Amino acid sequence: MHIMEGFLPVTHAIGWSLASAPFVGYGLYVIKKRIREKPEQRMLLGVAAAFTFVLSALKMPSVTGSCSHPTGTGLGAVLFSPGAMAPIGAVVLLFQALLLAHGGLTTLGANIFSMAVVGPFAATLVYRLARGIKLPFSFAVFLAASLADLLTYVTTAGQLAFAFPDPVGGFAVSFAKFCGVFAVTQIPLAISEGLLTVVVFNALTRYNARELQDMNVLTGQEVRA
Amino acid sequence: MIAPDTLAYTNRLVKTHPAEKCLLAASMLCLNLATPAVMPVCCMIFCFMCCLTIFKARIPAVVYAKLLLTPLFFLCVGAGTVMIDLSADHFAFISISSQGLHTAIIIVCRGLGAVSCLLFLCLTTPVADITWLLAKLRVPGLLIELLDLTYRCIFILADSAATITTAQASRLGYATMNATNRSLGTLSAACIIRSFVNARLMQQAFDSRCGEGPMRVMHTPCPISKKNIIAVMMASIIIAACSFIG
Repeated sequence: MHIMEGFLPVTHAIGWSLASAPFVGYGLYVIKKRIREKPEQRMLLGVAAAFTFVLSALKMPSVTGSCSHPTGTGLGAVLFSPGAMAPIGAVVLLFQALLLAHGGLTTLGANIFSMAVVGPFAATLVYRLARGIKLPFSFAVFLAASLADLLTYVTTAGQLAFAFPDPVGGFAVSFAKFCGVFAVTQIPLAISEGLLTVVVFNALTRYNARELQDMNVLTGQEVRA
Repeated sequence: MIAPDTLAYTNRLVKTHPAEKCLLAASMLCLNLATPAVMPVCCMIFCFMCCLTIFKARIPAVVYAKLLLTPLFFLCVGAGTVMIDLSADHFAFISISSQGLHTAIIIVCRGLGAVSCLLFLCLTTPVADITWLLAKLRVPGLLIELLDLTYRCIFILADSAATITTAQASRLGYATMNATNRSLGTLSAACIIRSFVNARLMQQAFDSRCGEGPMRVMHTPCPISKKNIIAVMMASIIIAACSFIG
């Protein structure tokens, strides 16, 4: 769910851009280091961003009957590192604004923060925790993808509530309102995205395990799981 | 395939220098966000940018309206949420306060104005021109390279995704919800593998041409027209003046 162009006041737009800038900068630094060590990874990042864009253009059925699209943040974060996802996400969001008029340029910072920073980091954290307590691989992937999606939406609701606090109840009431409105579409969507990501990983490990191992995406242990 | 991208290369303003179009969109966007007199100024900006896109750049009005629908939906949901007042003190649990209504109107006006600026930019300026301009503005080379690569790969991948989707749909792959989930999963997995293979092939092609340095993309230069720059400045000054009077 992207905040549309012009929805946030100027101060918030600038503030969120400043907040996400260090993550994008750090991500670029990580990518630069990786490219210096393995020059062949340069193309991989470009196709990763293109893949995330195409994935987000797919229509996904949602439990309520409405159609929505996957964010792909969970998938990207588990496949690539969460640090590298910030610039990749920034590029994807920029293209969504320029090619589909989805999202916006002034709200780019806020969208990067929720979709390319909070989502991937949450996904990685959940994935590591779930694997740490010996949950099955599929369940860990499901949890990572759906919780990343949920946290992305909660962050967006927080950003909107922060920009437009309720005149009486302030931030808390406004936050509850935005969460409630978006929960209708976002909770079924998070579950669908979790299931979809599991199917993707199953298909990957079943048919293309060797390619993935060649490209150091999955370790041998994960392929067996 | 992606309608705005095709239009960006075929509209009547494609030969105009990208800096002029970006300057216009950016200055209107800034005025739209910064103006104290939101209602009149934002409506003015919306009408001005709409007319410019539809009549000057000759973008079909139907396509324009369709592109406006998604942001409009978000705008209605967002502004509606701000407008509705939840509290137990009032007579009714759900109510609309005049302050909430005022904020909602401001949000709708600002949003419409800003979206018209964004649509102007994305319907008249090809991405290749924008990345060229970003490079001129000293944005880090790595980011520009990532943008160029992504732009190239999006269309290759979207093409194969569309082919696979047609193949799946013709075998009733999207008939039920379970089948849809399975089809989408295998489609995504196939796209990932294709992306990796593509990346490897592109790298090999790059290496075989000793491509170690930055990627260079050809850009056909078009002259900056002083007339257009002055027109952009005049329009900005007029709207800025209106925002002080209004």
